[in-house]
Amino acid sequence: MQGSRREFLKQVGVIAGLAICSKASPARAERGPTGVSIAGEDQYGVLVDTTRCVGCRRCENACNEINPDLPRRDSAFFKDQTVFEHRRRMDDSAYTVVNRFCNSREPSKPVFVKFQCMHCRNAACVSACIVGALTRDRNGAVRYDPWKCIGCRYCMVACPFQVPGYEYGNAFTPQVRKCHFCHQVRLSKGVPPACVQACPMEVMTFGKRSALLDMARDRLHAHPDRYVPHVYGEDEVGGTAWLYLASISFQSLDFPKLGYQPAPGYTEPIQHAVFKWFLPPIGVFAALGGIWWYLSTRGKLSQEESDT
Amino acid sequence: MQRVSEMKRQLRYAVLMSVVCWASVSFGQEAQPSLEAQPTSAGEPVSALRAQSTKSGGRPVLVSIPPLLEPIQRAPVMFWHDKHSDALKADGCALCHPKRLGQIDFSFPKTRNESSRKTLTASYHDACITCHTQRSKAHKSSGPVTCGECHADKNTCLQNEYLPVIQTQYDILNDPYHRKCTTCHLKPTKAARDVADLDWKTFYVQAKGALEKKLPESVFDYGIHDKHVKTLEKRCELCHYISPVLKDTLAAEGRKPTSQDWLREVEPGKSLKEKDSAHLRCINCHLARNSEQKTHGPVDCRGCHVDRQRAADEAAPPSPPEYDNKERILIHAEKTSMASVPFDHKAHIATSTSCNGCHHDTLEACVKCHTHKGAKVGNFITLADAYHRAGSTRSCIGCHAREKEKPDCAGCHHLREAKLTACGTCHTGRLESLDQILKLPDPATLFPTNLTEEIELSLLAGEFETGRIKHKDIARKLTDISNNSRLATAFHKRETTVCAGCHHMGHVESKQNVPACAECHTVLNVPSDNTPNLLGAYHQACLGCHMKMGYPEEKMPQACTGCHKEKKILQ
Repeated sequence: MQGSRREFLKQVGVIAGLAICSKASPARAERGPTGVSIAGEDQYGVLVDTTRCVGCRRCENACNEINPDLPRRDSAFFKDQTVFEHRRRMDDSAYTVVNRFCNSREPSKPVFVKFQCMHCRNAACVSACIVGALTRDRNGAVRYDPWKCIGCRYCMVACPFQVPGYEYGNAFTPQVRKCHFCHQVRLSKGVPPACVQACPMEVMTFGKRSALLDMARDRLHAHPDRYVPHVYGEDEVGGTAWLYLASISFQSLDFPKLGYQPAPGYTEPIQHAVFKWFLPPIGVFAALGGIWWYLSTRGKLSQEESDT
Repeated sequence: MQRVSEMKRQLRYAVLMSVVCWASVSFGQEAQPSLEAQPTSAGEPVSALRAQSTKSGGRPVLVSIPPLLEPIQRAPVMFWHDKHSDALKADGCALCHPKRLGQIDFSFPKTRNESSRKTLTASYHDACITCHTQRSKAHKSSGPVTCGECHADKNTCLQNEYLPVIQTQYDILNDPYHRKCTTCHLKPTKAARDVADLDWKTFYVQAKGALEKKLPESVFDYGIHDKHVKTLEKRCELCHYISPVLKDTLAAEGRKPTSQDWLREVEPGKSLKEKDSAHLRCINCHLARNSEQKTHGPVDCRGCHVDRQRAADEAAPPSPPEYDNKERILIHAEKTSMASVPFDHKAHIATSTSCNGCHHDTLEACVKCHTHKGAKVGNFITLADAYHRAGSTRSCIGCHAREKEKPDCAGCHHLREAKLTACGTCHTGRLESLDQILKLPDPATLFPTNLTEEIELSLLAGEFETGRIKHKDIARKLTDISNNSRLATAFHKRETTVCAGCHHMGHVESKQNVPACAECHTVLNVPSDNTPNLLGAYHQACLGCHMKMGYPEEKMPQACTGCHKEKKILQ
């Protein structure tokens, strides 16, 4: 091939591009989509010990009191025990619900479980949100900014726990509704969320996630007969801030069976790689352009040859 | 010519650009991890599996793998014996099992050919598949005929069997001080394969012995023994055995055989403790009596292999068979520095339903098979574990832990941590300790001034009015429960033991200073340790006890007002 400076520079450019792209990093586990380190061990968490819950629903009551945008309900609403006849989900009127389950080990003592946003360490909703309305705090909370939200509800699709609720009834200013870990007034000061403080049985323990994991393991060791030897949320979808202990299998308590990989761990590397410095699209167009050029030139060449 | 070379050049660039595109996409992606099989929350108690034995179809059995067939290439087969025996009742056992010398030999199949691996496999396949094919041709209910239907790799029963099996084989996993595989190994099956070249097939083969013990043991308690004794009119020689040597000894001494003699002697190759001879002898006898229209015992798996340990107090159990063991024993292990443990054997017989509840089928003392380091004959369970393992039904600690879970006891004991700290309670080294039984006095006499009728809990009064506890009544009731329980009187060694049920940290020593809850449990939440705050402490103690002891409906937790009235606040 004819060597010229231009040719040489082109080759160098191509090789450099290759080299840069080969270093295109896979989504490293430590840095989440917002760039905030999600592996920080100093984030807060809550350990929920379902063996203690008696289903008094004071957590629901406290959540309702502290959130002014939820429909007002009086305490008599939360004393109603008939709600346990049906499984309930979090929706736009309740950030947290308590459900009752049959206890296969002791049929006379049903298991009550409190559900709310799990505040995943590598949250799927944060990754799925195309405008960045859902973000993750260093503190551990997954917060929602209604000003940025466009109501696409991708977060609802992405969440493996089916947490976010949506104000379907609101025609003009609907918002996504989910537990916010009381981050504004409480978490930022290291104060436990309202539900945690309201619980009379201290089902929930608030603290640093690493300390809570140690505490959970201590409990599992101290009472091997009482618990299933697993802390749900320790590793599920990369770990969640809300950790659970239970006396029967988590699947029978409506906890989804999830892998250890963070939920956005599959989609983000593809997304990031496909648009890394825009090189791949440029490469694709260049290739297509090259092929087009080659084909058109070949046509002209044969025409020239046939002319001569 | 120049055009061609220029064309080639441009083509080269086009190819390079495509390579760039491909490289960025492929390197940009993370190496796709495979979703490792989620560890099941394998705490599902084995009793849930055993419950299946009472349903129709019974509980499947893993077809055992003789050494000839190892290493196995396909998944072991789960076999529903009771389904077969139910469906083929009319044909009887002799349809599948061979008959030898007039008795049914419960080996399988009839035409078992053990000359080589091939022939043995063929024997099984010929027996099972032929029958299934014939029946389905005759439009009767039938079973699988293809490989994968019997050798089901994804059989959930199989998976349920494995985890308990693996855990018993690798005993440390049952040890509360160790953890589940996945706590350290993210991919335990891969780790097992990499480190020790183990896969599920190897696990199965190695853990075969442990697995066979997972079938509910055939229940042969004192009541059933009694039935046999009465029905067979005390003809011990029908089941038990005296060797000719012993017969001579007895004749020389001029005495009749004692129960110890009957118990210890085992007919060579015909011990009832072994599965094969037990099946041969027991079931054939039952079948024979059935054909003679006499009362007989069960002839199918379910009849004997029922996980039903009769409660010790169920309708006046029959007395245990005569025995002449020592009534009080000082349990001592060699080469230890722990003092011996006095053991009241007679009392334990009175509260148990069968010998093999504690002694397995060996009917031997623990030290005979369980060594300090663990031996194969003892299923690798160490001597210390044999006595102390909290999860076992046979160990001292395990059985006592089960007793403490009963409603009468669990109210106090659920608050206390299960720690082996009070070693000296048992390891006294003297038989006389068995006599030190303490009947607790009325707590009102211990604390004449402080034990108030009612205690008011007003520290947290806000939404509710002050809670009132009938302190004296509670203390008295718990004292009564303790005094009525033989186990409790043996272990509750202090007069103030029962107080520690609620005042749970340390011993209640001084008669003046019983710590109140609020002295240790503060009002604020302390997130860094396991101490609940005051609200939690009150409710966990009170409600926890109520839930464990089965308190009346009106005091149950959802009715908060059962314990404290609601304050009428103007809203």
